[in-house]
Amino acid sequence: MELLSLLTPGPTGWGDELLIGLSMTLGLALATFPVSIMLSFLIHWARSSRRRPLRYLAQMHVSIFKSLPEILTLLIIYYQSQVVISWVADYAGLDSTLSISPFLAGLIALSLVISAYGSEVVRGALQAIGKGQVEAAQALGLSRFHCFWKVVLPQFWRHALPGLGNLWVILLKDTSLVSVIALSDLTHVAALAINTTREPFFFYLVIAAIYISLVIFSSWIQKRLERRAARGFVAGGRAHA
Amino acid sequence: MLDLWFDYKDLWLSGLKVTASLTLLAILLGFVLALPIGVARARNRGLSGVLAYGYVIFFRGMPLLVLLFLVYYGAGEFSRDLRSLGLWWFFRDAYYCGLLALVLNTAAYQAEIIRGSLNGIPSSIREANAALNLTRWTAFRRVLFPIAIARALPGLGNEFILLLKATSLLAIITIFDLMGQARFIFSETFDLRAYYVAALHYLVLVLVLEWLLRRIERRNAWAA
Repeated sequence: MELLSLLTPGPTGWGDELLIGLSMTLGLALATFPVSIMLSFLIHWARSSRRRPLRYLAQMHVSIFKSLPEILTLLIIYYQSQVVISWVADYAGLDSTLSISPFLAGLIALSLVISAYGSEVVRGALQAIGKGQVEAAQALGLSRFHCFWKVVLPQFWRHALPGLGNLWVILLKDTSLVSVIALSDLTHVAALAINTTREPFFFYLVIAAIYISLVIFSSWIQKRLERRAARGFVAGGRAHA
Repeated sequence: MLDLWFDYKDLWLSGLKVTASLTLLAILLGFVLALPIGVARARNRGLSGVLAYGYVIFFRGMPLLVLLFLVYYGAGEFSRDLRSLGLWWFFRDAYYCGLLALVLNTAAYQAEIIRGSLNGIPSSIREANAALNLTRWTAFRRVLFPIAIARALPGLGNEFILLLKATSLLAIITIFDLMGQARFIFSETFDLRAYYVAALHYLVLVLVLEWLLRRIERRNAWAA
């Protein structure tokens, strides 16, 4: 009971701080996800491009960011961009105390990592849709934009949702890494709370429970979205109902 | 970048050794733990099924970083009890705590891979086992298990690579693996290239591992 009173909001409890940490975690994940999906498409297009340098660059992106530990990517992005920013600021004669926020560094690093995996999800989903749809759209005289927007993309979600759901869960858990560069997300707030209360087991168990409920809630949402994306399709078959 | 490697050659090599030993120990111990959990998940009946499901949800649902802190800092809170149980030597050591967290985490992922490959075995094979009058244990040991492992290999190989990358988190609890050495060298020299040298190590390790795994998979093409 004594422990539970630590979770109340107000000056003695940590409930409100944890809530702010939770919103930071969710905010970072929600901001990163759309960016990484768009980046995934760009990388997939570069990988299947006719230009060789573009193909090599995209392939390198995937190999590098799938091989590096996320935490290393994060630290490199964080420190290197500080250096680059102060260098540019010096050169342009601006205020050299400019720095990159941990939030932005986390957003960039996580987008790079998630998009490396995401490009494979995009490739798989586009392959599942098949070339026939694109050819039919071209035969109808649709522009490339309309072909993608009106024909490919609506069918894309049905095939991509399981993979994207997986990536979302990975992203949600990877946001905990930004606590290392002092963004006050859930994990960081827990560390602060432990510094004053000396209850590490309790607080880490609480935020573990929060992460687990977020993951369970996400997979529930994912199932609903999958059902919605598959509407009009006979279960298990390719035929249109 | 090469000079930074040669200047701290001993540190990099010992970091490499720690990373390699952690990865290998964690994947092997994790497999031993994952096997019964994966089988229980595939059967999905009774108390064992519920427990296995709970294990997987719990350890896959939280970030490894949180699990790591839970084991390492959480154990400190129970130091008196652990001392009286004679387990304190284990939880006092950051290496063992980190290893435990890695094993608990990877076992959950490996169990799901094993479940998938067991469930994917066509029912005709089970019927053949029944027709041959094999006992359940013999059928599992001589037929189902070898097929399941051969089918699980690509997934387990992937997990191997993810685990190698995950060991870098242990640098935060003062383990001097590759990442830990990079942090140390950076704090000594303020030379950002230390992180790039570490990145190069991981890149080479993963590329070599991927090549090896592809060769092993080719030998097991019969199971697909």
